[in-house]
Amino acid sequence: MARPGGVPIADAVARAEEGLGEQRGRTLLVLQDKVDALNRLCADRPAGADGEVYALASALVDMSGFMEIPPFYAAAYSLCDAAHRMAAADAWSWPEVQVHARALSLILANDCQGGEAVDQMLAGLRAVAEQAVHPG
Amino acid sequence: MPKTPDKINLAHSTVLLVDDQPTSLDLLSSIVQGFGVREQLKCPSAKDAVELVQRRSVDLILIDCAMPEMDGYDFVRWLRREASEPIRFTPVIMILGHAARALVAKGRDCGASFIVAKPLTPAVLLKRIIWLGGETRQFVEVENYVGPDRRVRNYGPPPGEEGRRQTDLSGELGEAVEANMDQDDIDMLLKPMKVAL
Repeated sequence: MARPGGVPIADAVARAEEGLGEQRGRTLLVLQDKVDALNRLCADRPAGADGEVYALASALVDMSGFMEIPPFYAAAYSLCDAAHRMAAADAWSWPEVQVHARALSLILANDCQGGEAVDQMLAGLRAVAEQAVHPG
Repeated sequence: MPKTPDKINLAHSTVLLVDDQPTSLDLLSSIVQGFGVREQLKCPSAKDAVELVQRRSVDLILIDCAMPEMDGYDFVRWLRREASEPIRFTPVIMILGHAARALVAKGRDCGASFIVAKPLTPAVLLKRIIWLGGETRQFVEVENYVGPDRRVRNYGPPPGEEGRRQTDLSGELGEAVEANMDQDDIDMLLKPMKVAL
């Protein structure tokens, strides 16, 4: 690491960010595929699919965690958290999953842009996730 | 604290990337390539990574924590305790998606060198790699822990005790033998947070 030569740290960071930027379009398509799969699960509501929902949510967190798309990451994280807590409390609720899936679809359709309306939606998701295991 | 270098040369380093999500593996790969790493080895599972490091050495391992079958924690625990020398001393940066406090502690206690929470930025990851380049922590091997020394705070011995080592200071004195680390830097060793380079 300390050998002669190398690149300035700022350049290394800029090149890494550029590399991520080049993969943004392809990554968003993969995220869309996962969200579509999530929406299909919400429509079918198969029994015992909590593990599958958690795996999808976890994959969404995993991938979006590399991109500068905070609203999508926050919504995916909220779903991951809600799925984990609902499964642990044996209190599975598809409507809670569905509202997250719809929010993820909306955020993707809006090119993952933030804003006041998105902030309100994310606050709503957090409330839903909380309500999922602490009803009333 | 040593001065942060202006340049970094990773052209001669070999980095192992481990993630079960192909897209995430590609994204991580593009970050590392941007850092100037010439040789990258990619594994889609921790089990594959175990096989690989038994065959050849690497300079750095970046591994996702959450994976099916063998997860990142199990891999690091295996690496530290069962791998042969010198591969067991290889620095490991764990990447954590769901950064609950218990999971951060689990990563630290299995022997990870650093833990980076998502959302991950190249600047934060590179900062940790630079820290590894100036690593001064000793490698600890005791019954219930193998990995970089986790004792990063210098509080001196408990009040009222003299201390057992020559370099221990009294609790009343409370003064470090050498310059104290910044609290921010100490916190960085224990919990991930964003850093501006």
